[in-house]
Amino acid sequence: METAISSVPQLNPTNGIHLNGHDDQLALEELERDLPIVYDGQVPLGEVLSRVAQSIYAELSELAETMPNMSDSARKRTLADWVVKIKKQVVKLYAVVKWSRDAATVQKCMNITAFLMNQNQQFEEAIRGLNYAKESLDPARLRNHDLLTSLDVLTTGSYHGLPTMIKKMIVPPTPLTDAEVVKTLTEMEDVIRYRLRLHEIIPVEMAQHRIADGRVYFTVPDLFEASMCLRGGLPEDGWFFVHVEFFITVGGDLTGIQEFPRSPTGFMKRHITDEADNQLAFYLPLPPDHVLPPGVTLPPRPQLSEGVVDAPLVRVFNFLRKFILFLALHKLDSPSACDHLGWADYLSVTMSDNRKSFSASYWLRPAVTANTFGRPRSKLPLLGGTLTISIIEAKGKHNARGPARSPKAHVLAELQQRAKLGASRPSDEVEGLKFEVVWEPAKGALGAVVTAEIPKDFLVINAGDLNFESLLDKVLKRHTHEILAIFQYQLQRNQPRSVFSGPGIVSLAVEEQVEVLRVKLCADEVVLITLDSRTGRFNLRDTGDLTAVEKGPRFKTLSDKINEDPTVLFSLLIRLRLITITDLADKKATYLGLQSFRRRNFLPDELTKLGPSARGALYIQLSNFPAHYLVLVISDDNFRYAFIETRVLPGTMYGNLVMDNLKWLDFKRIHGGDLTITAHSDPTSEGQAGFHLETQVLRELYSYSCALASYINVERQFKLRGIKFTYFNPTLDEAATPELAHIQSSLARSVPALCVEAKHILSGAPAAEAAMPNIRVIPLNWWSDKSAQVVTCVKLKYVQQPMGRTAGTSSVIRPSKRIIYDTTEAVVSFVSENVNTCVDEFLEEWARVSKMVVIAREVGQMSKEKKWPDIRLLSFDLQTVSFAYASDYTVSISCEDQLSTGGNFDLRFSRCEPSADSFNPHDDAEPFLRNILRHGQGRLAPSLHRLVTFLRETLPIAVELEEIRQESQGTVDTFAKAAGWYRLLFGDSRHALDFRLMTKQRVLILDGSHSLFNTGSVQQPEDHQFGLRPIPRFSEIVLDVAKKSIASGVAAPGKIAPIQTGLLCQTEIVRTLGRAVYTAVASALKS
Amino acid sequence: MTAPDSPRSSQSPPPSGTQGDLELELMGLANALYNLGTTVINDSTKERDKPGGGKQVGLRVNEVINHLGAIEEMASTMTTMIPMQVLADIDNARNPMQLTRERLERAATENQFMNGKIVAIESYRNYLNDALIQSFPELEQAIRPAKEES
Repeated sequence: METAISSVPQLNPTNGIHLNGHDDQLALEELERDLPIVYDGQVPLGEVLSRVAQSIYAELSELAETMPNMSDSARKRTLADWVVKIKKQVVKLYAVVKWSRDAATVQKCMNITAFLMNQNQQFEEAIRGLNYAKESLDPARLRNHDLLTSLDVLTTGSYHGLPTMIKKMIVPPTPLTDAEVVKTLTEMEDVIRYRLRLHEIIPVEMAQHRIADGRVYFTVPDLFEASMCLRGGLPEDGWFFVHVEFFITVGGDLTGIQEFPRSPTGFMKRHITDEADNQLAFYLPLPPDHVLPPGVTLPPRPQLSEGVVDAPLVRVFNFLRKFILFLALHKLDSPSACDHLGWADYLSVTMSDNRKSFSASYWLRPAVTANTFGRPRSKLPLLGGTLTISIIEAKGKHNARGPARSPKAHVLAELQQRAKLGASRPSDEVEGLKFEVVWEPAKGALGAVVTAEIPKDFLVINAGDLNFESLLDKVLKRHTHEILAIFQYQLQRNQPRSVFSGPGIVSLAVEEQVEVLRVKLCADEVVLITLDSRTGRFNLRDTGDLTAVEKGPRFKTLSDKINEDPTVLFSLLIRLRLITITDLADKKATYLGLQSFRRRNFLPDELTKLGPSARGALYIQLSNFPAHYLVLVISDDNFRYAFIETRVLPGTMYGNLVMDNLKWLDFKRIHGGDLTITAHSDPTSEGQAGFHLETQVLRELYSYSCALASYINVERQFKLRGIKFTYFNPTLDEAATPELAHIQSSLARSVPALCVEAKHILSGAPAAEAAMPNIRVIPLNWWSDKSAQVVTCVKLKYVQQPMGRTAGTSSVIRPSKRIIYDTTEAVVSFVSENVNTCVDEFLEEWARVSKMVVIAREVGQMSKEKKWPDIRLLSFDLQTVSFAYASDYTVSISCEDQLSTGGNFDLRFSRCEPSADSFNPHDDAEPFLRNILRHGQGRLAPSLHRLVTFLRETLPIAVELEEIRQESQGTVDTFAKAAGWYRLLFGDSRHALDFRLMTKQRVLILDGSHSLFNTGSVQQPEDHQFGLRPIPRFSEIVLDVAKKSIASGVAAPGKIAPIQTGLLCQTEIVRTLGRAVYTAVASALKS
Repeated sequence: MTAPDSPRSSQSPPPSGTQGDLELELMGLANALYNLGTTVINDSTKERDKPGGGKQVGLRVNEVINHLGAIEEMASTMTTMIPMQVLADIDNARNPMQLTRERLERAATENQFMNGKIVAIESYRNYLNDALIQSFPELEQAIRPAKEES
C-alpha cells in the first residue's frame, strides 16, 4: 500500500504535460531507458530484407539454370514475367523500408504504452489492496466471542444465562383444556350478567341482549348485532368489542349489496374494533402494562366529574348506530347506484358537505338556450323535484336530553337509570339519530304546480332496508300522477267552454302499470299522454292501431314541443284534434275516390266566410266541376258542410281564390223524409266529440254538391239569356220506381226541379207552338263518375204517334242519342252531355224535332183536309218524317244544322211498295225542292203544303221525261233546271225541250232555246254557236201535235193551247202530250 | 514534436545514413529489374537471335545481383524492428501509416487515462491521509512527511 502510493509522484514527469520537455536531455534518455522494450508482434527489418534478397537471388539462379533449355521466346517471356513479379516484391519492400523511417517512433510509442499499461496494472493492484483492507476491517470490529455462554454450554451442556423472554416467545404455553375454557367462559358470563343487571346503563334500543360464549350479544332490530366482552372480573375492568353484524341493506341493486357486507372484514373491521374499543375505554385508566414508546407523552386521560357514572355501552351504541347510518347513506352516493339504470342524464345526486344528507334531483332537463325569437319562454324549473334523505337527531319531547322514544321505552330507561345509578347521572345519553326523507316537488315543474300534500306514512324510510330506488320510484309515481291529474283538471275546467270538458273525453287510466291520460279526440281517435317517470318527459301516442305508423313522427314532434314547454299542452291538443279530424275526413274522402285538399289558396278574409266557429276545413273538389268544392267545415263540436264555388282572383300573383256562391248544406234537410239515412245522420247522438262521418253521408253530400254545381251551371245559362226560371219541389209522395232507384241517386228526389216557360226559352225558335208552356230541366248523372248531363223535357202539344221502322213497339223511343221520346206522355227529353252548353243544345235539337213534329202533323191532316187520299205518313220518329205524296212516290224529310245554317232540310225521294226499288225522278230536283221548305221559314205548315202540291204537279212531267230518257237509250238526257222546270236535251246537244210548271196546274212545253223573258226574238241558228238552237219548224210541230191530240180525243179542246213557241196544257195530260211533242221533234230532227 | 526521428512526409528525401542508403539501394534494385525487363522485351521484339542480345541481358542480371548483394550486406547491419502488421498492410494494399497513427494515438490515450488515474489517486490519498490523521493522530508523523514531500 505504501509503495503504491509513494510511487505515484515518481511517475509524474512522464505523464504530466506540464513537465514534458522541461527536463534536460540526459534525464529524458535516462527515463527512456526505463521503458520496457516491447517486441511483441515485430520482426527485424534486416531479416526481411535479407530473406527477400536471398529469395530473389535464388530464383534468379534457378532461372539461369532452367532457361537455357527453353526456347528463346519462352525464355524471354519467363524472364519478363519473373521480372514483373519480383519488381512488385521489391516495391513492397521499398515501401516497408520507407515506413521503417518511423519504426523508431512507433517502437517508442509501444514502449510507452506498455509502460502505462503496466502502471495501470499497478494502480489496479493498489485499489484492490485498499479494498481488501476495507473488507478485512469489518471482522476486526466484531465483539469478542461470548466466552461465558460458550463455557456454560460446553461445560453444563445447556443454557442458563438466557433471558426468560426468549423462552416465553418460543415455547408455547400449555393450552387450556376444554373444560377449563368452558369454566372460564361461564364465570365470565356470570360476571357480565352481574354487571349488566346491576351497574351498566344499557340503551333501551339495545336492551335486547343474550349472554353466550363468554360474551354478551346486543341486538338492535334493523340495525346491527354486536358482541362485547369484559376484560376481567373486577368492577373496574372495562369492556372490549368483539364483533358486529349489520342488518342493513342498501339499494335494490346487486352492486350495492356487494359493497355493503353484513359482516365487516379487513380494514373496516379493524377500524370499527379500534373505535369501539376506544369508546368503551374512554374513561378507563390505561392498562398498567401499556408501555409507551420513548419520547411520547400521552395527553391526560379524560376524567369523570363528580356524580357521573361511566356509561360505555351507551357510547358504543351511539357510535355503532352513527357509523351504520353514515355508511348506508354514503353507499347511496356511489355513482353506480343511478348510473347503471340509465338515470344519469335525468338524475343528479349530491351529498351535503357535512355528509349528513343525501339528495337526488330528478327530471333534470337541459337549460333551454335562448330561443331565436327573442320571446322569453315561460320559466320552467330545470328539475322536477328533489328527494332528500338526511340523518337527523330526533329530540325527545319530554326530555331536553335524550332521544325520542315511545313512552314505554322512556319509562323503562328512567327506571333503569334510577335502579342502577341512583342519584348519579350517566356519562352519555343515547343520541336519537335516524333517517328522514323529504320530498320537495319543484314549483311549476312541467308546467304544473304540485302541492306537496304528502301523507305522513307516504315516505317512510326503513333503516334496515334503505332502498333509495324504490323510494324514488314511489315519489316519481306520485308526482306523475299529480301532474297528469292537474292536466286533466286544466283540460276539463280551465276553459269556459272547452271541447275537452265533456264527460269521458279526458280520463286518467292505468295501462300497463303506467298512468295514462286518455284524451278522446273524436270518434275512435284517442291520444294517450304519458309521463315517463324516469326522464320526466311527456310522450304522446296513439291507441296503437295499425294506422299509427304514419302518425309516429307527428306524435314525436308534438311530444318534443310539449316537453319544451308543457304549458302549450292545451293548444297542442286542440291542434292535434283538428288534424286528426281532418285526417279522418280526408281518409273518408280518399276512400270514395274524391279529390280533397287540406287547404286551398284562399285569401285570409275569404276563410271568415266559413263562419266564426270554423276551426278548419277540408275542401273536396267536385270532379266534374273543378271550380266547385264541397267544404267540410270543422267547428268545435261537429262538421258543417258548405258548398262553394271558387274563382281565381285575377291579377294576384299566386292565383288566389275567392269563394262565391257559398251555400250551407243542412244535413237533415237534404235527407228529408228518408228514414234510413236520417237514422245515421243525427250528430248529437255521438256525444260532443261526434265527428263520426259516415262514408255514405259524405257520398250523398258530394253528390248533392255536384247537383248544386250542375244546377248553377244551367241557371247561369238561363240568366245569360235572360230566361226566367223557377224551382219547384218534386212531389214527395212520388214513389221511387225500383228500376230508377239504382241508376239514380237516392238524393234525386230531394233535389228540386227547374222549370222554364216555353214562351221564354223558345221565343224566336221555329215551331215554338209545338211545345206545352212549361219545360222542365233536369241535370243528370251528378251522382256518378260519368260526366254530368242535362235533360230538358218538353211536353208536345200535338201528339203524333211515331211510326215506321225506327218507332219500335216500346212506349219510349230513342230516335237519336240525344233525344228520348215518351210516346204515351208525348214528352220529349233532350239529353245534353255538356252542362255548360245544355241550353244551346236543347234549342238546336228542339228546332229539329219541333219541325219534324209539325211536318208529321201536317202530312197527317193533308190527306183528310185536301182530299188527297194517296198522301199517307209512312214513318215519323221526331228526326225524320217520310210520307208518300202520290201513289208510291215517297219523300223523307229531315233537318240538319238548325242553328248554324238557319234550317236546312234534307229531302230523300224514293218509292215505296209495290215498286220500292224503282227510281223516284224527283230525286234529281231535290236541291231545288228543299228550298221550297226553307223559304217558308217561320211558317212551316204552308211551306209544306206548297211542297206537296208542287211535288204532285211536277210528278207527271218527271215521270214521263224519265221514261223517255230510259227508252232513248242515252240519246236523250233529261234533268231538272229548277223546282218546276225540266229540260229534255236531245242527243246532238243542240236542241232541247223545256217543261215548265205554271200556276193552276198547267204545264208549258216549249223550245229549250226560247227564253221566256225575251219573247218574240228568236235567235238565228247561225249566230247561236254555243247555246241551244231552236228546233226547226217547232211551232208547226206543236200545232200538229195539238191538232192530233184533240183529234184523237186525248185532250179536250179547252185543256190544250198551242202558242207560238210551245204548247200549254193541263198537268193531267202532260204525259201524252209531252211524249207526242218529243216524238214529233225527234223525228223532225232526224229528217 | 521537434524530435529528430518524428514521422515525416513520405515525399521527403531519403535521410542520410543506413536508412537512406537502403532506400536508395532498393530503388536501384527496382530500377535494375526494370531495365532487365525492358531489355528482355526489346530483345524479344526486335533483334531476334542477335548474338549480342544474350550478353545485354546478362549485363542487366548482373546489375540486379549487385544490388541484391548490396542490400544483403546492409540488411545484416539493420537493427530496426517492424511490426508484422505493416507487412500485412502492405500486402493487402493498405496504408501502413494508419498503423503509425494508431500506435501513436494509443500511446496518447493511455497517457491521458493514466494521468487521470494518477490525479484521482492523488486526491484519494490526500483524503485518506487526512482521515488517518484525524482518526489516528499518533500516525501524523508518519503521514505528514509524505504530504509535505508531495
